Amino acid sequence: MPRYLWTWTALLLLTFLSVGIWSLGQTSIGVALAIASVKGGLVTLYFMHLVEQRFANRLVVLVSALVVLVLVLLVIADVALRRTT
Amino acid sequence: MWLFLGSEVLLFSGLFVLYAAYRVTYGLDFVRAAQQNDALLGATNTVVLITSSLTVALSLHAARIGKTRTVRLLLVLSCLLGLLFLGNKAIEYRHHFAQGIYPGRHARVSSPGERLFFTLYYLMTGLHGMHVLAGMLILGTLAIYAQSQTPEHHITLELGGLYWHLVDVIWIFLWPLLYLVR
Repeated sequence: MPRYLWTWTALLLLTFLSVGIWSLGQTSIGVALAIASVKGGLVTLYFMHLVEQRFANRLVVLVSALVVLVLVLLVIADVALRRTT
Repeated sequence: MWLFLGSEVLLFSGLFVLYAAYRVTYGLDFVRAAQQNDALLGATNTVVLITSSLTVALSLHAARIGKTRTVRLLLVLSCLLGLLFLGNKAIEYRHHFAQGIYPGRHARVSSPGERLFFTLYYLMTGLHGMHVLAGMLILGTLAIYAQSQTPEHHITLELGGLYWHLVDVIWIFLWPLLYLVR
């Protein structure tokens, strides 16, 4: 039970951190996504109990995350390296 | 269930990929449109969803120790938080409509980058909003039948909870991309 409250507190703090960084005008999308990844990780591990789950379920989560990451990176590389002259 | 959640992730990642492609192609134009979104309203929605995840997790905890009334109460609370989220979105959409920014029709924004940003904005938040609604229906049904969730058998609540948490995780990534970029 306290674990849930701590997770929630951490999530709120990270959210306020993001807002703080944004209000200082210092946003970098990398930092914002890094903070978001930590938040997503916290929700997945503790609210969704992944920390208690068997490896097979963790594998699904890991693979899904990697698929999205690779997909996005490859598309970025594709579009960024196009030469449209 | 985890596999199903993986498929939902893939669904949204199509839109994330579009976002990445247009961000790279249109750069500053694309990003500038984000300033028309109210970051603080978005932040409020983030807090609302995070708290609703907490209440859902607590409801599962209550089911594991047999407190049916608490389960029901927490699930109703989670639903209400979902409703609050959707209400906020409605307010935001109204603001955008008032400025002539509709899905597919943008009266004031002129550059293609800005137009694409808002098209994606409506697509992503719209799809996410539908998932919030579906989640609310699931949680609401679970609330009505809370007595069926016992310390020995509470798998339905667990699965419904997993869906709701995923909806929260998706928003956690949507929010910085749509509200915090400059």
